[in-house]
Amino acid sequence: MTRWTSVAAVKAISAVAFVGFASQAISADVSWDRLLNAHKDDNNWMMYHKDFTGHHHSGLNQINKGNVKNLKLAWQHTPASSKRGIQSFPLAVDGVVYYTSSSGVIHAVDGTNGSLIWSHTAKIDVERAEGTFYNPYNRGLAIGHGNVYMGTTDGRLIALDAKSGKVVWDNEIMSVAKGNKGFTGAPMIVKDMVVLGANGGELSGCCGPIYAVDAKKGTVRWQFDTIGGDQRSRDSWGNDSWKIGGGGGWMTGHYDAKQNTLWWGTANPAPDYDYIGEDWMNNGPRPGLNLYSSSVVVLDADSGELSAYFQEMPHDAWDFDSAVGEFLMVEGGGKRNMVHPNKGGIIFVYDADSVGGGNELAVNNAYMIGETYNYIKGVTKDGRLVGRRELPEGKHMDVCPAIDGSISWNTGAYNPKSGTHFMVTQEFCFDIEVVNPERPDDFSGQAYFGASWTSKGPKQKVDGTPVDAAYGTLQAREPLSGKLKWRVEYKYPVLASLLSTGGGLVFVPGADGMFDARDADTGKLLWQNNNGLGHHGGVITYMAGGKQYVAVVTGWGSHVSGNFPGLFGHPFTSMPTDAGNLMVFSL
Amino acid sequence: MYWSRSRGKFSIGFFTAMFITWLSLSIARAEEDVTEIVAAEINAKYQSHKENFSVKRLFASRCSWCHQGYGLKQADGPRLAGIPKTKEQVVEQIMYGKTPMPGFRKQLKEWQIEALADYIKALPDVEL
Ligand code: HEC
Repeated sequence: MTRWTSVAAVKAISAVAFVGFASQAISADVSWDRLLNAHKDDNNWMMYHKDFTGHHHSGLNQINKGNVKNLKLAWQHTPASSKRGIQSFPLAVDGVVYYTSSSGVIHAVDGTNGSLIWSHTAKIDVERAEGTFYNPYNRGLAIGHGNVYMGTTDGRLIALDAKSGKVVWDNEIMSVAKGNKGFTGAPMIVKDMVVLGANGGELSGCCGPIYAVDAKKGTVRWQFDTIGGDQRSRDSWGNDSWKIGGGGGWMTGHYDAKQNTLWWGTANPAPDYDYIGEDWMNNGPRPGLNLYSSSVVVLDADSGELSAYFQEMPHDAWDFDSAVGEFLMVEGGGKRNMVHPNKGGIIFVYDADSVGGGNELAVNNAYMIGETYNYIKGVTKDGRLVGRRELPEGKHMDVCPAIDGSISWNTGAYNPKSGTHFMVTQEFCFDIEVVNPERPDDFSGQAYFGASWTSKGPKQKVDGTPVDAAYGTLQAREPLSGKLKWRVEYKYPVLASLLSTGGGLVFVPGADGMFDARDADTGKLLWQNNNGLGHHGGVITYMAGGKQYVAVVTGWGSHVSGNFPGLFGHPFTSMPTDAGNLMVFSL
Repeated sequence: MYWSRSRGKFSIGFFTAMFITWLSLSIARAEEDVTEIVAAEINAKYQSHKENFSVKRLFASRCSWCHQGYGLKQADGPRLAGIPKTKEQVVEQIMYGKTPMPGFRKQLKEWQIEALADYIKALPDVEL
């Protein structure tokens, strides 16, 4: 009981401190008010997407175009585990940096020098966690209400006291009753709840839940099942295939305070690939549209009820899901637009106010940013796929992009001053043989896919230009129209997130270990540091002790990065997948 | 032909085994994908467990997400052709897994695991 009183007290103090939020280091707590106004607070990076604009942009400009050449490593920290690399986003609050690595490890370190404040290693039920394919990954945490929150690969949510690192509660949120799955994404705080979603799109289970958990008590307030939760969904899975349909919402979504809605991207249906080909509405392993897989769902934040949705990949035949957590709120054309990239290389621009009643979202625009795709011919401005290339049983050559998509789960960044969205694409393909897999038992949570493949470089771009190897791009676009401002080619596709700053910079953590700072207006390379190991996680900036820092994680290893040795050889054939650091730079 | 460029080297021990398989198949098949030649043997061996059993279909439904090219190509999971593990060790690996590979002892029947292990051990050490 004393706990609750003290939390309430700290909350009251921080509400006062917030009035003068520039005077950081007074408040040690992160109240809901503070999170809601995080876009006005560039000194801190308090949530996965920094704030509820989703821009991954900080106005900080101590480090800028003029002086970035002097940027140097200030300190680094090596976490207790970096098995399979590090995929997480650090957070920085009032001079303290919090970050997760793999295997349930969290560290809190001094933001000025990296010295350890506390650390915690969650005990994971490894057998259960390994039953999914997503052990030991972790993509980050949430901070607020006096606690730090982390999901685990064995289906738990843990609250640790932000000051001491002591466990406040540690609860199983998701059982294995409907098939094994876990949490890899960073939780997000909404009011007095912690929201997080399940992985498991490739597992023969149900129902890909998204949860809102009471931030203080650790009990589930509501649960939204991304598949099989309502009649419309069940009707879109012939032969009750929703019971083995995968689904999920494994990346951190978005909160829109004006409509009090949560925006969340959902995972793919199982099995990956569909041997039936064209006749998927009536036959095959999962006849029908398979709602709400590979969709954006908009939920009422208080009740978890479906407010609106849009299925980006109707009956997803390629595993191009919508789980990308990036949702940019961009005003323009007299509308509030929600910009959401899909794995298939499509940017969807939704009308953020076309919600309520559980209907389809209005799409203001949709355009493709991938350069070598051939799984569809294109997309209409209202978001409908044109010229689908189904993959019936048998062999298919040069299908682009490969299962890994044109866009991965990492986020881009948006500079609201210049109105520029920075995004990366990965351009590689595969030869694939689709098979008719045996249907596993209902709710069994088993590996369930229906193809074998080999990744390879693309042969040509969509416009016919010949291509001789896999590659990546960094693109700067006006996000509502999709108009390209500049483009830089990367020899190796970038698998980490991007950072935009008020210093006119965009930071790009490269796959080969190079960490780039580019001119946000032109794409020109202004600074580069070899961090020694591939990047596959987040990048943030914050102030501590009057100084601006840029923090990035290194660490390599994942399903997507697993293609790199085969596609590129050196340096990926010898790049370790059990190493990684938090690297922090300043002037 | 698809997945048929066997430009790599066969190991001596394996060569003998492959040669016998080779002879037992028609000349036309010698042009085909090595995984198909290997699979034909394994499928025949396990028909008593299940009619029309296909080890490649099993592999594609359970293993291919991480092991590309039916085991011939390194990806998230390693290339499985030519690994030094004994059949028993391969069975052990499939049963118990190793992060991020799940253990399959509760998902697959014993004979299915055996069949996958036989298939992996029979894969020639060729580059795709
Ligand atoms: C989620 C990804 C994933 C899936 C699915 C998967 N594996 Fe693996 N597998 C791996 C990884 C990663 C390793 C390497 C583990 C290590 O040693 O660190 C591995 C290793 C192996 C090895 C040992 C290789 C060696 O060099 O000794 C064998 C054999 C194997 N897997 C077979 C299978 C079979 C058969 C299946 C399907 C029943 C399967 N795997 C499914 C990821 C996977």
